Amino acid sequence: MSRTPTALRSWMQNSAELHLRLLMNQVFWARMHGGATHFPIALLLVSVLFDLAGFWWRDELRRYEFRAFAFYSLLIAAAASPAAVISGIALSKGVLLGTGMLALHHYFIWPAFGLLIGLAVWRLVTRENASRQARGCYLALASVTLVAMMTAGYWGGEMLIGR
Amino acid sequence: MKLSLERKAIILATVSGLAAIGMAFAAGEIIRPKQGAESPATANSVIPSAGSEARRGYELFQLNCAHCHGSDARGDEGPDLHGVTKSDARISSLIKNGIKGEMPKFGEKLTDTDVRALSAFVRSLRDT
Repeated sequence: MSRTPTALRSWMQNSAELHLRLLMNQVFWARMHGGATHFPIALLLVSVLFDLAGFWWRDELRRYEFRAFAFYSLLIAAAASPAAVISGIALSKGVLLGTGMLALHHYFIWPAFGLLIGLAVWRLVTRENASRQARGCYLALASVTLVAMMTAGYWGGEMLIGR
Repeated sequence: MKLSLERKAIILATVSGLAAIGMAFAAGEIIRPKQGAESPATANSVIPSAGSEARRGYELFQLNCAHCHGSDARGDEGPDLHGVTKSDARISSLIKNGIKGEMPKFGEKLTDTDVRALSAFVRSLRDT
């Protein structure tokens, strides 16, 4: 009976140590970041493409369907982005700007992250009630966000490529 | 004054975007190790004199290597480069071919002149 608390304490200590080691492991965070970043980039790309189709397509029903698809892609992209950001911060050990390629990566990713969250909130609030002019502005801003995110991805890849 | 839905959404979106960046920066502050932060004086002490090959190497180092080795080359994720005793040929080979799983290879990205300049910079670190 008296052994159980000791065993439990030992297991908890080992578990905490294991988790701490995992948190300090840069290879783990490099893999997590590499995996997590592709979801927001790909989903934002899909969202912008479908929104473009939803903006120009002639058939009204198709336009609505394209916009709906773009809306959900954007929401998932925004929901997935914190995982990419947190793993990136852990990978760079909390460095928010840095130097060289890391700085170039950060110059683009911080505005892109803020814009992605902002755009998702705007879409969530307006839904289908936005004017065509507002949708045009939204599309321009979403395209800028996509370019910024892809540029950040390029510099991020440059840091890791060839390892 | 009654705001339209679009304007309300813009305000909410701006606040959310800024809050997201703020939270990310707060997370960075929490994660960043408190000790061992390099001082600007330390970072400046490694800058070679203008016009030298080592200075060109320093500029290349800041762009390509500083995010792992630290801007003062004292090491971070990568090792401290001060007091490296390897030969120039070995340093150049490491820069060009990298170390599998640890350091990227720069052979396709940098020219031989660039690699020589980087080697010269690493050499110059011995004296700092």
